[in-house]
Amino acid sequence: MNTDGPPVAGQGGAKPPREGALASRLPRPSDEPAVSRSDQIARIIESRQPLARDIEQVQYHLLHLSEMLTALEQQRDRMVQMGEEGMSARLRDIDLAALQYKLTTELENLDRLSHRFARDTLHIGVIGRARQGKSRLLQSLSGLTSTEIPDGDRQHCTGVRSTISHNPGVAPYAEVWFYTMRGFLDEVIAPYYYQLRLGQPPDRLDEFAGKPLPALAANLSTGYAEPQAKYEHLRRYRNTLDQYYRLLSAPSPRRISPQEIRNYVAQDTPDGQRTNVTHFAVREVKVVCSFPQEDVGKIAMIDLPGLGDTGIGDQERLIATLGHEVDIILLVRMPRAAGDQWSDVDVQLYDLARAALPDLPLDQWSFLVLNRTSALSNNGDNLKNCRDLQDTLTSEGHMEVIDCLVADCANPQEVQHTVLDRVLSYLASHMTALDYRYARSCQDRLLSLQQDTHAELEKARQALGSVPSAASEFPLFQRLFRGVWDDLTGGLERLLKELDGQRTRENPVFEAHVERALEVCRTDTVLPSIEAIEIRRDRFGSYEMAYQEYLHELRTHLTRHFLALDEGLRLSTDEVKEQVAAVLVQQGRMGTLTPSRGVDFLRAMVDQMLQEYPLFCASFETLATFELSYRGFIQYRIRRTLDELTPDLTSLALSSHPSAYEVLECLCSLYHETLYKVRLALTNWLSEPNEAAFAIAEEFTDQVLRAEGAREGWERFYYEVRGEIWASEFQKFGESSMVRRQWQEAIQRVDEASRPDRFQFLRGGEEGV
Amino acid sequence: MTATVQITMLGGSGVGKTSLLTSMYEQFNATVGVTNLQLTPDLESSAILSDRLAELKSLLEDFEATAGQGILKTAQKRLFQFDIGQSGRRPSLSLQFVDYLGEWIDADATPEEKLQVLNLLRESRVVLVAIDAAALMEENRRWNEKINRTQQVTDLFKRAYQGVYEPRMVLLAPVKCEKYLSHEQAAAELQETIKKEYRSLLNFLASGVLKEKVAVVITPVQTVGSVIFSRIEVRNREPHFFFRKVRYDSVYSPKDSDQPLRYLLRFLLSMHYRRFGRWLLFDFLREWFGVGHYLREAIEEFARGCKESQGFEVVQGRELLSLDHQ
Ligand SMILES: Nc1nc2c(ncn2[C@@H]2O[C@H](COP(=O)(O)OP(=O)(O)OP(=O)(O)O)[C@@H](O)[C@H]2O)c(=O)[nH]1
Ligand SMILES: Nc1nc2c(ncn2[C@@H]2O[C@H](COP(=O)(O)OP(=O)(O)OP(=O)(O)O)[C@@H](O)[C@H]2O)c(=O)[nH]1
Ligand SMILES: [Mg+2]
Ligand SMILES: [Mg+2]
Repeated sequence: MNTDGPPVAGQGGAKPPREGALASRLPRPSDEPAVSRSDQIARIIESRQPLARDIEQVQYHLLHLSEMLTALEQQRDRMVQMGEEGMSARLRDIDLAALQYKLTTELENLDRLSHRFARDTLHIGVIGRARQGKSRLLQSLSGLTSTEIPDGDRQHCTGVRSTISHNPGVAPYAEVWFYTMRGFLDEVIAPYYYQLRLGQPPDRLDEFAGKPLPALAANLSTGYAEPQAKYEHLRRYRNTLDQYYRLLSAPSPRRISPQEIRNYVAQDTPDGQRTNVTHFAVREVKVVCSFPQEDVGKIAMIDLPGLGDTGIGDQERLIATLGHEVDIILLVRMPRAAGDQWSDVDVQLYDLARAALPDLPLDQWSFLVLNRTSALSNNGDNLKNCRDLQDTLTSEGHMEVIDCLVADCANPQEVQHTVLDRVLSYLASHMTALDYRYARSCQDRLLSLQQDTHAELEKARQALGSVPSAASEFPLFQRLFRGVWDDLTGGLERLLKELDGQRTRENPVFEAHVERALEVCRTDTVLPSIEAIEIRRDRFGSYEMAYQEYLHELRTHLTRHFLALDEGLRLSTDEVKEQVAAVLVQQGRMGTLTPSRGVDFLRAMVDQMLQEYPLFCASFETLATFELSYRGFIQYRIRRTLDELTPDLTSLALSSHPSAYEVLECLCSLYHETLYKVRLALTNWLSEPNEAAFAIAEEFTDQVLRAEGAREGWERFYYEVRGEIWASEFQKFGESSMVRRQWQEAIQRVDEASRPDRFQFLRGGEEGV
Repeated sequence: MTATVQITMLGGSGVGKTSLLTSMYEQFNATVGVTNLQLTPDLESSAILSDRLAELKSLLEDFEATAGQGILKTAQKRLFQFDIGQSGRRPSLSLQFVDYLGEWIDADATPEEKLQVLNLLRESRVVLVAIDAAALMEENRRWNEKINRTQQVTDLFKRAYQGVYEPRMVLLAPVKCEKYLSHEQAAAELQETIKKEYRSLLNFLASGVLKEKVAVVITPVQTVGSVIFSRIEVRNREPHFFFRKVRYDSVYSPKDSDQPLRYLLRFLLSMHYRRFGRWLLFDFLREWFGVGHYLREAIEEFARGCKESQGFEVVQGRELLSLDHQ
């Protein structure tokens, strides 16, 4: 236990840097004693900002590295599938997953760090178990009353995190931030489902409200009090939903008057009689006021719900809050006058806080506040008990803190003098060193990550081994290429001839879809009933108007059904893509280049193999994405056949004394007549997909085989992939092979992305700390 | 003494032979009434044709109609006899229309049935070929052969008209043709299609001596009027032709069903004028026409009303229809 002096320097932990960028940016309190405390705090905050920006830059670089690693990993996985045993083993040995994992962890750490450095206030977080006087302490610190910072001695009082910031000279006000529906479901409700093993968490609010809560599993529901209590808590969330769900779609922040704060923060009404669930919808409350204390500076206090509640997210949220938002922790403990000692729960709380920032020893950023109550209080006089706990802090409590302070939380003078002064002085004099230490340890880990990356890259470079010189292979390659070239051109020419022969025939796939669409139209006619016609006549005032309206409806109904032809058109064009792909795979022997087949084969070639062959790549892409659509290909051709269902164009007018029956019969006749005309029109185009198939296949062949330079292009390509195509004749991934080159490029990209300077946010002579 | 002229109705089953006859009968009195002519069916014909007429009109009871509605298949060969004479005088010319079962020219008709039709053709001076225009025109003539039996009709003519030496007339009479007579262009299309689909028949009739001896006229008849083709639905591979009224309140209003008769009488009169005296058949005609020139003039007046446009066309043998006195 440290009761005096700066513990950082004294305990052989991190020493404040003598030189270096960070140190030179930060003020040195010892050099300039005349500077006020609030100025010092302001300078601390100011000096953090550039660092926050540098860290963001590094985060950005790390994300880029992560992408490059993913690309390398994908390339590796492809090669593992293709390569021979020994090589595959070497490739598998490159531990890219571990690198990615570390990278993710470090990104999270940097996130905390940059968040901390980007803040424009220093934060003092108050934690502790329920009813220890945390809120009461904050009242005394801020000069606010229980209206703004509710306290209470019934059950758990504070339900929501509230931040109380000091802003000299302003009248108190507050802002409420609500959960969004999504955030509420993901951050509040979902953790219950996972922890209580209730299955898939609800995806929508009405699902949560509408469906009964899944039953708690038997092995969780009997014997254990905790899951039961948590389950009850979740049930409360659900059963009271109607009291607060509207707030989940309310805009944030909502500015409120100090009198309203309690309603959004407290778990009960001031008299403690009724429970209040509004706070279920609240993520955070920010209170702004002017602290009574002199020379406070830009600081904020965070009042946190007492731990030990059954709220599940509480612990996670506490850790996250401490990690992101808090610079100094005040652990509040009210010793019981009736006799008290350190217990497990105290240690647990301490450990929880320690986990929030593993990079900073908790004993350098936490104070213990023992709440000394007077004889007049409910607790009675606990001075003796305070002393007991103070004495046994390390021996029995096993807790290390900067200082253990004893103060009556209900006494503003005492709190300001004993607690706030001490804390602020500590902040002013030590924060820079703490920041540095924190940043340094992150930076060190990053540098070690950088070295790990290079170690794995070295393995990657060695993985393919060396291969005999490629020059001697060339004559053999040329002979093999001539063969495959003849096969490939022959295969495509044969396919073209076959497609040419089918050009005028009906495409069976498309025909089946046309038939189906027509059949659907025939059976699903949506002709109105006599009653419906009468109703519409009454609405529009005449049968004529009703008739015209129905004509419109029938027409759009028909055309809507024809949209389904898209699927038939797609399938019919997929067929030719598959046929071409099959020739490339078989006669062109390209099957070994990717396990994908059919349309996916074409796409895989575009994505993975042909990038440096823009001409081929474009042709493959064109073929892969070729499509016929209802709108582009059919719609305009059947438009005229719909004339009879178009009010202005129809030849069938109603008679001079129409009836509902007449309307119905005319509609029925016209509908079927139109359907008939559409059928005739469509049957004229049944061979069209075949025409298109031939055209696209011919175009592909022209571009890919017959164009100038095509043969030379393919020769180069086949040479690059000779090891995969002719596995028994050539070494896999040989010299100047495509895979080897792509692998080397991927390595190169990771190498560049992991240059040491990309990891560096602390610069200059700061090493050796 | 009464002269008799036999006319055969030719065409596949269901094309509309009986309907054509029925509407000719109905319209004749309506149109001819103004002249001095009188057309008197024998009692039995009259009764039957009245029944058919009622059936034909029943097509208009519903807004839509398809096969099975209207006139039933003819069940047996039947002669319909009409006597033509001057009003108030004893008729002296009989027109004998032969309506038989269209099935008799089907491929699977018995040899006897086929022979009967063949003989009818040989014996008849005039043949009315009823043509189902919808079957002819719709869906790229997909159903034409099946319904109109163009090939069989042609073959029958080729066999029957061998060694023919008296003048004859063939009327090609599209029925169910309302849709194709709605405007000039459609009518021309109908004419063209007939000439194209019956090209083989027309070529035959225009070959050798037949060219001089056979008059060929296209005479579209709207036997119901106000009912037009709507669509074809195929069930069990059989086409079902749907027709509908042009307006919900349309009524029976046949058009041009007098035209075949006008051409018929014109042909007969022309024969008389041209003094084909050598031929037995026309001898008695001379006698008949000679009875009194009132009758002749009435007939001539009637015959001059033959249409030659809006779908009507004298395809060949115009001189056989000439009313010039020589
Ligand atoms: N007299 C006196 N009462 C105190 C003191 N500290 C806390 N109390 C009272 O004890 C009760 C609990 O205090 P809170 O400040 O609400 O406790 P908390 O730690 O914020 O509790 P939660 O919000 O439930 O976590 C309240 O009624 C306070 O007024 C103190 O030093 N003296
Ligand atoms: N819509 C329409 N239907 C017609 C027309 N003419 C005839 N029909 C119908 O067509 C069907 C066949 O007509 P019919 O006159 O019996 O034909 P047919 O040639 O005598 O037939 P068979 O006696 O079997 O040789 C009947 O149901 C008629 O009602 C027409 O002009 N329009
Ligand atoms: Mg509280
Ligand atoms: Mg009949």
